[in-house]
Parts: sequence; structure tokens; C-alpha cells
Amino acid sequence: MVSWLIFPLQLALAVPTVSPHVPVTQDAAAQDAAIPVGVPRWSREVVLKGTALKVRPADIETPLIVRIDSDSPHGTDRRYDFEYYGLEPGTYNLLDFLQRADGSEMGPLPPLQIHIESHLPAGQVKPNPVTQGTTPDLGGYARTLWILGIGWGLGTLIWWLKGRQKVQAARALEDAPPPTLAERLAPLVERGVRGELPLEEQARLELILIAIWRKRLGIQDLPAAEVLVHLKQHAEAGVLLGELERWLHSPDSAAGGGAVDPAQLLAPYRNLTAEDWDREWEATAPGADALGQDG
Amino acid sequence: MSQLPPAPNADFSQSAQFIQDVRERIAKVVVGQDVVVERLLISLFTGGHILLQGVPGIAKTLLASALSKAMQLDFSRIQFTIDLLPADILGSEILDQSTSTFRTEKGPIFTHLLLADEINRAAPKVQGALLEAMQERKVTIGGDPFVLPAPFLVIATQNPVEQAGTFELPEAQLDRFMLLHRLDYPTPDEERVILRRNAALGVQRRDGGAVVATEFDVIDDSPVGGIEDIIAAMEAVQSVHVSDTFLEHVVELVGRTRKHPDIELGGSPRAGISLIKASRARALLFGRNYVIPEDLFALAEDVVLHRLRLNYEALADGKTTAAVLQEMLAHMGSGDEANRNDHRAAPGTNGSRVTAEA
Repeated sequence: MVSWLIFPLQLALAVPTVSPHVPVTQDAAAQDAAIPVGVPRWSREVVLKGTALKVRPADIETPLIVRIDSDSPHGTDRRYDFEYYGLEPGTYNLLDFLQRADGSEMGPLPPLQIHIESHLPAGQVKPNPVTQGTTPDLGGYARTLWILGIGWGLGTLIWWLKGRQKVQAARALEDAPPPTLAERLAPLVERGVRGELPLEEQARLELILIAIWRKRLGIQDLPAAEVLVHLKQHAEAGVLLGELERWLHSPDSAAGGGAVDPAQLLAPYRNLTAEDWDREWEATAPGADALGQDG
Repeated sequence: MSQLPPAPNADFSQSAQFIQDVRERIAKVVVGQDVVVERLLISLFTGGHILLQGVPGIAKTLLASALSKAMQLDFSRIQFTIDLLPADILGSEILDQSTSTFRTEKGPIFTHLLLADEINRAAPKVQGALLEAMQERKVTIGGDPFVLPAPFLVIATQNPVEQAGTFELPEAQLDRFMLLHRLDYPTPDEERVILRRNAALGVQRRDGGAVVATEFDVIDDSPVGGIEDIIAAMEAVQSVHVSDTFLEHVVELVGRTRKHPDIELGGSPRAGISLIKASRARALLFGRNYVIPEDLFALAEDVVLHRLRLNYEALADGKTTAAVLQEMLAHMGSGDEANRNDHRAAPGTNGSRVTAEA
């Protein structure tokens, strides 16, 4: 009897996979492949001869948990769907974990072998320590869009603020009173006294002095052609402009032989503020307030 | 200091005496008009041409005639009309029937002083022929070039009020005139002298008859100088010193005419050149051997104004070229901000600010 039982088992061991005549939906490769401990697998449409089978009661030490998902007649045989997972590594025959529902003998059945293996090294009971993997990018394309959107928004804001600052600065400059003639004259006189006046500023100095005296004598309304004629008739302005012309335009001065000393010529015009000019103007041309208005 | 080449030596005293004599001689027949005489001499000594703009009857022809006689120069006068042809000015080839050959009959342009009266009444073709001759100082008649006499000065006139049937000179042709001087009526005092002199002219007996004498009859035919004196004056003008500072003033003024918001067409480089030339001649007339800003301010209107054209916005605002030029002259030296038209003096000041120069 025992030999009758052992023979099919030996036969099954000799055949590494489920017998070919057993229709199993799980492919053979998957069946042959080692199944990790604790991972469920299924064998479906398994046709076995004999009466109905049921799972043999298991105890706490059982190395394999088997469950019959379905059991239906198949002619004179029965067709089963099995689900199982291993708790201990090793090679098992599913039939060892089944029995006849009516208590009869199992009879000669082809073995249903499975191989359970552990990923842990032999002897290791506890699981491997958790290794820290790389964190995948968060957000992906949506995050990129958000970054671009925020960057665009910030850029626009900065551009708008800068533009506003420029407009405000320009407006402030426009609203600010233009520099007075005295303010324009002061640096030119200082450099002129020191003899450091470049050519362009010499020209400006001369024209500003003309403008100042023109204003001071209240002859802004005179045509330009008559202004200098008028100024030269003035005792103080005439001397100044004459000396200025000798200094800036005379060929003697150009040859370095001029008798005009710029420091002495410009000395009276040093450190004069707009208020000083106004006071002197009032003193020079009393009653000229009406002429002093713009226009 | 100066970047200009050294000026040749010239006899200023000789030229000064000559100029004084010419002015006195003209003053004997033309009352007032000192500025016009000054401008004519400037044109003559610098090789430029002058356009006088003014109403008829203010002694333009008399002035030119007196000037030519004082300097012993040939003088021609052409009254420009709509039917005038270029050949009427330049000359033409005429078939000499006695020899069956063409001979060249030179036109009135072959003279030293040419008075082109009312130049804007001639067709543009005639104006063009004259202006071309003015620039090139030669004409072509029948394919042969003829050089015009030297010195050669065109004194053109135009009437600013009667514009019907006239052809206004475009800016490009106006640019060929170094000076455009606007003549004004004489002052009341001058007018009294004119009337007294005219009343004393009397009658001139001629060819057994008599005509009422005119101012032309009292012009002294004896010259006070000749071409040699003019050449000496021209050389003296070339020896007048132009400082770099003065050049800066000229550059600034011409630059301002190109940047001013009211001006569509600004001054050309020729405007700057003419300013320098005219300023040197004016300095000589005033006995200086160097130019000063007064020369620039005095000549700016005559030299620059006719080269400018206002834009439509300024014309619509009722602005005039003269007012815009005066504004530019007033703002010279005050920096770019002075170009703003809406300058206002700051509160609390009495107007010593730059804005006050406007």
C-alpha cells in the first residue's frame, strides 16, 4: 500500500513540473519559477480524478497555506482552482495538503509541485534592513509649469516696479525746479579759477555768464543780436565780457600770451548762490521785478 | 588752443580804411541801412551771396549801385519776371550774318555785382540757372564754359507780401545764399533825412532837356577803392582768428536747430561754415582780428533762419521760425534741459533760473 502511494510521489519528483496532461492556466514557466515566501500564486483549471477534494486542516507549523477557490465537476473528474502561498522555503506537492472530502484515499494522482524560496540568506529570520532609495521628482511637468508661471509673474512684477520707479524718477525730475544759473555756473567757475576748464565748458561758461547778465539787466526780451551790444554798454558786464572774449577768443590768448587771468576774472563769481544773484540783481536793477518774471 | 591753421598775415589797417571809405560813400546816398551795408560787405568779402527780403522802395537797387561804384565794380540788374528765360541771364549764341558764324553774346550775369530783383517771380528753371551759376561761378553757353568775373556777388531780392504769381525758392536753393537779410523800413529820423535829401535833388538838365534828378544821379562815380582792395579785405578775413570756443558755439547752435522739436529741417553743415565765414568778415568790419559771440548772435538770424523749416505742429501752434531761433539762442549754453519748452521758474525764486532765459 505504502509502495503504491510512494510510487506516484517518486514519479512526481522525477517530473519537475505539473504533469502535461493536467490543464493548468498558470503558465509552466511561472509554475516552475521559485515563488517567494508569503507571495500568493494560483493554479487554475486543475483537473484531478476522484471524488472532491478539500484542504487538509493545517496547524501553526504548516509550511504552505492552500485554499481551493473553486471546485466543479469535470465529466467523471473534478476541476479545481487553487490558491497557495508558502511560509517556509522548500519544494512541496500541493496534494500533500489536500484530502478527499468523503474521507476516501487520494489514489494515484500526478503531483502538483511548487518551489518556495526565501530571498533572505539561509538562517536569517528577520527581514533585511530598509535601504534608503532615491526620492522621485515631485510634481513633474505640473511643477515645471508652476515654477515657470511663478517666475514669469515675479519677473513681470519686478519689471513693472522698475518701470514705475523710472516713471516716478522722471516725474520727480520734471517736477523739480531746473538748476539755477548760479548752480550751473558754480562748478564752471571753480574749474575755470583752477585753470582746469575743458573746451566745451569754456563755451558753456561764456554763454551762462551772458545769460546771467542778460537776466540780471532784465533784457531777456531783446533779440539775441542786440543782447551783447547792450551788455557791453554796462559798466560791470561790459568789462567782464570783454575780458572773457579776450581770454577765450583772442589769438594772443590762444598763443599763451594773453594778459587775462581767469582766476582773477572769475573770482567775483565764486560761491555765489541763486539768492546772492537775486539780491545783487535787485540792487543792480531796482524796480526791475516786472522784468524778472519769466516769459 | 586753436585747431585751425594759422592765419596768413594781412594788412588790417588798409582794409579798415577801405571799409570805412566805402561805408561813408554809401551813406552819402543811402540813409541808414548800416546793417544791410554790413551784410553786403560780408557777402562780398566771403564770396557768399545775399538775398534781401523786403518791400519795394527801400533803396535796394540804389544800395547795390552805390556799392559797385564805390568799389569800381561792374554792376547789372535783372528784373525777374515770369517770362524770363535762362538765356536772358546767361547769354546765348547769335548767328552773325556777316560772317555766317555763331558768336557768343554774354548775358548780364557776366558782372561783378548782379542785382537779381524779385527772384521769386521767375520760373524755377531760371532760378535754377542763376543759382547754379552762383555756386559754380561759371556758365555754359552753346557748349562752351565761361568763367564768371571775380569777385562775383549776387544780391537777390524778394518781396515778402505779394506772393501771387511767384515761385517760392525751396530750402535747398535758399541754402545757397549765405545770408538772407530781412530789410525793414527806415526809422522816423532816417525817413526825415531821406525826404529832405530827396526834396533837395532838383532837376538835372540833359540833352537839351531836363529830368527830375534821382538819388542815382548823385552817386559819386569816383571809386574809393578797387578790386585790389577787395582782395586785400578778403585776405584779411581769412586771417581773422576763430577760437575753438567759438567753434563750440557754432556747433551747439547748428546742433540745436537739428534737434529742436519744432523744426523739421535743421541747419546744414553749410550753415555752420557760413556762420564762421560771415563772423570772420564781421569781425574785420568791426576792426577785430578774432571772432566773438557777438558776431554769432548778430548773424545767426541772417545765416541760419532761411535754412530752417518748422514742422506742421509748430506752424499749427502759430510759431515762427524767427521766434524758435531766438529761443534757441537764448538757451545756448544752458544744457539739454533748456530745450524743454515748458520751463517754469521754481516757486520762491525771482526767475534767476535757467527757465528765465526763455
